[in-house]
Amino acid sequence: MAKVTIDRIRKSYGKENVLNDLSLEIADGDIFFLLGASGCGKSTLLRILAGLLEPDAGHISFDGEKIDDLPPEKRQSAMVFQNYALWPHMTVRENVAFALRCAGKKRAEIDERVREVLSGVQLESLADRRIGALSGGQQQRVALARALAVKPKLLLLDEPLSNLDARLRETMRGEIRAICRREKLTALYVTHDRQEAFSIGDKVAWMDHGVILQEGTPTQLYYQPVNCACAEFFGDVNFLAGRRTGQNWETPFGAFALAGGAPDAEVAMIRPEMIHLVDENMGFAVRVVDVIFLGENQLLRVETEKGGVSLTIRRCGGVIPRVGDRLTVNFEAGQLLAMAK
Amino acid sequence: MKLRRLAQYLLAMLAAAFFILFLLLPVGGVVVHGCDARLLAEVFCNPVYVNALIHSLAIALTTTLLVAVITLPLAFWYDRYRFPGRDAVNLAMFLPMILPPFVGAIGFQQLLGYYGVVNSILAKCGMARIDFLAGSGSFWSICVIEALHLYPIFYLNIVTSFGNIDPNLEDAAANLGISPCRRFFSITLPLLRPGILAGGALVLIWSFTELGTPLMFNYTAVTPVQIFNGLTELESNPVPFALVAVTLAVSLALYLISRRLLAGGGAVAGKGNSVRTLETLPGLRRYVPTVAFSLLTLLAILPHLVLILIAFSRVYYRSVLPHGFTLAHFQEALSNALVLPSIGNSLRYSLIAMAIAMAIGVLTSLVSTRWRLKGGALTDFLAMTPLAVPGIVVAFGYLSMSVRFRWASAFNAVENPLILLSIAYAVRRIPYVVRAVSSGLEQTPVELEEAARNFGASPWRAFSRITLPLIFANMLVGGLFAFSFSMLEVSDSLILAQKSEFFPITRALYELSQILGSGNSIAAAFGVWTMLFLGATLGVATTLLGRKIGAVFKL
Repeated sequence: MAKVTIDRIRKSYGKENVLNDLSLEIADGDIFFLLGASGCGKSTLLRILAGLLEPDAGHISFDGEKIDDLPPEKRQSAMVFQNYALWPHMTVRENVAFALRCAGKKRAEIDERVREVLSGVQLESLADRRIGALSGGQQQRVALARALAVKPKLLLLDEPLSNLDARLRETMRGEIRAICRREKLTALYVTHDRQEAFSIGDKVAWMDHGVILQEGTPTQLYYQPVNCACAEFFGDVNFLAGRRTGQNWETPFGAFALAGGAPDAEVAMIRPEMIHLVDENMGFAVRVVDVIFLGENQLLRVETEKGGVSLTIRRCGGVIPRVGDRLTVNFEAGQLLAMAK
Repeated sequence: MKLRRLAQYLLAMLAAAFFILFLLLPVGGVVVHGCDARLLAEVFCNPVYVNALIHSLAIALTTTLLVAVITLPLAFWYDRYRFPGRDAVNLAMFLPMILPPFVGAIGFQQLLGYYGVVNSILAKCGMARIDFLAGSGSFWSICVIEALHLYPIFYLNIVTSFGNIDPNLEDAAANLGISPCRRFFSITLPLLRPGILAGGALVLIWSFTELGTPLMFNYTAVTPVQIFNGLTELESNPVPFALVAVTLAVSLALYLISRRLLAGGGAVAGKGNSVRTLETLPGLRRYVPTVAFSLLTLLAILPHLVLILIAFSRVYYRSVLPHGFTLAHFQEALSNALVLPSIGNSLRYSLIAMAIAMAIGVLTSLVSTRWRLKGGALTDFLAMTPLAVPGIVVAFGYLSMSVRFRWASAFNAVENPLILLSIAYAVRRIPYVVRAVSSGLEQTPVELEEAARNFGASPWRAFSRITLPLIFANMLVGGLFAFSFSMLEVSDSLILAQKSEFFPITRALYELSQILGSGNSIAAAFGVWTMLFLGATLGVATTLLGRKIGAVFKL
């Protein structure tokens, strides 16, 4: 494991700038998540870290030591590829052992380590299978085991769960987190799935157009996004048009206390689960326009009686309202955030 | 990384240098020599030459049309239906590839000659003999023989194209209420265009420049034969230079037009996850494809079956089957001074050719599909042009190059054609190797090699342990095709091997067939040896590789 410093990395393909002086620091032992829409440059950054791509400018260092000139095979940054890139002409065991053999390890040592990581991902019994004979989930675990076998300084994960079905994805999330903790790995995990980032990540960075726009803990990114795009990316959100007057946000259906935000803010946001049903006179009146049943919770689309502003409310449990019902709701204190567009 | 790039460029330049030296330079030399106004005027004004050009084109068009008509329904059946013996008859479609057409010509003449098999049957039935081979008979015979030799190339292309069509596309049309017939012509056929164009162009060029078959029929009214016959008096009559230039121009034009049309296709539909389920035709109709496939194969091998009979026959004249059998011809063939050395020569030339073709072919594939170097497309184009350059042109070019340049006299074909003939064989087989290897590389994600680098393998180790094993089967297909086509090569062999001690098999066969009396029988016996040998090679190849062979014959 290592502390990773990415210093003003720049990369362009022809006229298109994919990475614009991107800088980032990953603390020793952290699971760092890089999120962004597809095409925002996150996979490019990963490949640059692995040495598979050369940046146009900028530096990368592990524990303060520059590794810019190291070829991929000397970087000790094991990658879990999006489509796994398992070698189809080798067995599971051979796939996992290949890197150790390249490193010139002794046979007994290789056998021992392979057994260790394969049992870690519960694949010991399939060690002699060919890759083609494995299911998607099993292949994903082989890819992970292959990367873990070399005890890398940095583990790179490129959307490793995107090819799995929803249930398997959830199981694997837990496993990856547990393994990273157990092996005390520094990991950079690239994905566009916010659930993955929230459930495993120590730190999350949101990337757009080749720059990092916000970096912090999952809760920071969820509740205090820097702009509307970021707020929308990380979950359902209500944007309220209005005007700032002192510490309040004025809307057609009333004025509400702001939790914070820039003085020149153009819009205020609140998450659907931060709007609660309250007793009459404790809030403002809305009419239910649509009810979306999602299982563990429901989304209510409502319209305020005053001003006809549309809002989305998330509710857990209780009686499910019906379309046309009149309700009284209010924002949870300290959750309304003003922000730039 | 920079160093690696440099090495890649150096290797790419090596491949390009090979093509410039052994393709552009010799061929260019002939063209420069041939593009003489006086010579060209002679070609286009002298009715003998004009006639030959027209005949050559007519043979090419007729052959291609025949091939298309024979092959399309078979490919369609193979793609759609389950029928008895489906895999076996499909495999049998490759048989003609190991049957040298100009050897088959001997069998064909026995079959259709005035005193041959068919006429003997007619005579037995009390009907008059028909002279099939007189007049336009030999024209049609040549077309049929070439069609029966070349249909596998077309078939492979069409079957691959069929396989690339997402069945959902036709299902969607059916779902919208479009009739099966309309569906085939407005959906399926346009999607088959790449296969038809690629296969069609290859067959067209091949039959346009075929030397061996017309030569065996003594059919001199075609351009390739005129070039061959003109070789001996080049000093006094340099018209063959112009004939070669014109042949090349026509072939190149055919090639470029089809490539152009191919590129303009645009409508390459991505294949979804859906796999076509084969249907079974009801009742006796399910035997129709089996019978059709078998009939075609039988027709294709019939001349060669007759050839086998000739090889074993004591007397084979005015009868359906030979009068008496003997092994004498085989003995005679083996004891003929030409035969054993020619086998050794052919093996030597073809093995060297295979090695060269594989080395340059793999290099070219890497340059164009993997390394993505600037100018890589040019190397790929250079590697593909031999498809448009007839063997007779290449051979001719080498001959004049070795005379013209001092440095080239080192491999003077007259003294010893080993190097030049091997290279000539190789150059024209490189496209097949490139296509086979490129398709393997395309099916092997780059990430597999990158993953190896990522896990500590050096560039060479990543290539040799990951990519190489994964494309090995494709390399082998390309190599084996290069080898067996070299063994059957006619044009280069007839032109470049001039002293009898350097004759390859094909040249020796030609010489044997010219011996009066027992010549045909001895040539037939020798031909049988050759077929057995090649059959074994390709049999191994097809069992090893199955459908991968389809990737080889593409533009």
